[in-house]
Amino acid sequence: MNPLDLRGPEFLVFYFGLGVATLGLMWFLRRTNESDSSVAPLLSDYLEIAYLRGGANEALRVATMNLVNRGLVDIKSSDRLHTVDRHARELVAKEAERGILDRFTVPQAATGIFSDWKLRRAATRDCRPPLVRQGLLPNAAQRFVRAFLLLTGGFMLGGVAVVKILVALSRGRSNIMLLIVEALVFGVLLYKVTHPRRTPAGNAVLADLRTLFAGLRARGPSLALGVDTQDFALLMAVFGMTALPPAFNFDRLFPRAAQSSGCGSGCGSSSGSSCGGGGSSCGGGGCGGGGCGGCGS
Amino acid sequence: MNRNTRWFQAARASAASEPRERSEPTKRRARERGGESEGRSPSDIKDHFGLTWHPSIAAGVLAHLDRIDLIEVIPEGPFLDSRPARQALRRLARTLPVSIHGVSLGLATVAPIERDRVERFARLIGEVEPESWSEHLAFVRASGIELGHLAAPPRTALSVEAVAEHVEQARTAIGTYPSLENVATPLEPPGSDRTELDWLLGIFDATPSSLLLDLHNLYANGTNFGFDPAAMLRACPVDRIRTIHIAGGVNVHACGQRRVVDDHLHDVPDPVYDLLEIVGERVPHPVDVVLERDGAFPSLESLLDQLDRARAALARGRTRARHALRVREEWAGSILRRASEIDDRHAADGIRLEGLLARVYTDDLARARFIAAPVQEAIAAGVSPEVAQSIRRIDEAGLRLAAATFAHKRRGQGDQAKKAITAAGSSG
Repeated sequence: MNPLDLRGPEFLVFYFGLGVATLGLMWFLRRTNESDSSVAPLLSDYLEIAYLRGGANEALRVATMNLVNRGLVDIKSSDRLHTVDRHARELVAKEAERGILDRFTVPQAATGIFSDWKLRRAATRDCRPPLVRQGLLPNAAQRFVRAFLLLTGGFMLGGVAVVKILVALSRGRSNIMLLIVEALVFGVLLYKVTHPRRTPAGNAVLADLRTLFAGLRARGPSLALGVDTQDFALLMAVFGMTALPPAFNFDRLFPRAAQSSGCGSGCGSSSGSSCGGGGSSCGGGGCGGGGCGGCGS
Repeated sequence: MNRNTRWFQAARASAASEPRERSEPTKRRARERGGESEGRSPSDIKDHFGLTWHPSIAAGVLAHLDRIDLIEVIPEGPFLDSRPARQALRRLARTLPVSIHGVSLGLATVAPIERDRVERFARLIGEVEPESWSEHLAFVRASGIELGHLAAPPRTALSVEAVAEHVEQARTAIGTYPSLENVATPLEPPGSDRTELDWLLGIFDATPSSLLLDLHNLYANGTNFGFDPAAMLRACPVDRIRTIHIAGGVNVHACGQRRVVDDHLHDVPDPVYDLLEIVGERVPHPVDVVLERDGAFPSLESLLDQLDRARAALARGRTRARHALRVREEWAGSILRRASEIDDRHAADGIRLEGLLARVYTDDLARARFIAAPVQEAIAAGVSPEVAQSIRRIDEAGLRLAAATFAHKRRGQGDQAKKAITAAGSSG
């Protein structure tokens, strides 16, 4: 039986099945291409972790709050930031951090960092190459395969939809809107399946960081502003703004991020991120402190 | 010993003939250190220094990987049960060397150890592939009672035998032998029939395990029970020491007596660094030194400073060992040089004496002078006075006979030569 001869509802069901199968196949092919049996080491750079989690905007946000916590940038009035000392740029190592300090020599809104393409480019230059090198973000070859899979899947789903629409129109039917919507939805899903921001290795590293530093997250409320700078930076980088103690009062700087579930470049950025501030409740919390204190171990 | 070990016997059946391969990192470190210390000078020794992993210092650890060589992880609770946690730990072990430090197997009990615990521990070690693993020489439960604490067992032949058996069982299940750690105890274990040192020596005689020497435990026990920890350290089997723990504790007074409690909540005291210096002096191979801290955390900088002090203490010990080695080498060298000088002098004397004798045997005038004053003639010929003295009583008759014999021989050779020349001339 020719599926193009199916009636509207039946064809929509058929198309749905075809779409799901195509998505599954493309997901499988992409994942197979990007799978890496070697275990990448943990990331230790807070900016790279933040970039891996949420992209350039998240890295900029975390870097900004880290600079505030270190006392190099001051909060003026409600959400305006001001670089305390113009020589502070000598105290930071990353190009993005220096860019942020330069930007706030004139007091202005914190969220302005997201529209500054120079800052975004600096963050990308700081973080992307090492992450690609470690296989946590896709490299050029993997991006090529992703594009190929997207085009192949797109031709399959789009081609069938177009042919069916032409057949329907040639037979004098005009109820094609549902098929167009279904095709568009599958097109978006196909993009998401073939173009996630991270590789499977990147997701695994992030998951392991959340597990290992779950104890740090639990300790978050006890962090002191300006004191535990390393803990603060890592906590922000791994879990995002929601892990911060409310006392820090940073949500006024980035209100959208503070309202979100924890991280992601979706807050003030153009690219979506699917990560959350979740993580295991075990891990770091359990080990080390596991209790041989005072036992003569 | 009637111990119920059927499950281990089953495991052994498959593992004994084909013991589990040690993981790559474990093998790598084994190559780097143990068994290869022979011929290694103290200056070649690369010790490693690290901390116990704890969430409170996790961020600092990642930020200071340049000053931390290894991490010790106590795998309690979730780490034994949660697969994501084990995977995370595996990644940590790929980032820097990790040692798994068990606190719950209770290898020093005389009762059977719990199969389930060992299996979970084996699963953890298998997945994480740490550099090494260790356990305490303690029991942690008995008669269904969990002590929640590491207790020193009665030091008897029975417990030595039990430790050896349990270590073997753990090795069968896990694949590698653990390092065994001495524990601190607030009281001498009741029912003991030997000292801690004798007990430890018995255990390391009975097992091939290495010794994780906790210097604060040693110091605490020494203080609490009135023995010299340095003397005990010197008596320990230094070839087995692979890991050192340093920690801090607190002085308490119980019933009017001072006791040191090993609480891991305080900075490392000076006597522990002194003991570490002795380790550096006596242990001829690299060791891992781990600073244990379980709470009341100071800044990471303070912990790193304590690690630096440990580095310095161990280096001082290594330097002393190097100096002692140099002194020994110099002493040995001087003995050899002296022997060589003596040999040279004897050889020269011998050559000169032979020259003198040759003249005496063949020259009538020289022989007469020699018979008249042998010592003076020998000295005049360059022979050392000691050797010259040895020929002062010369056998004059023998000398004359020898001279005549040699002269006769020389003449005979001359006649034969003449005859040969004559014969050759007549035939030509």
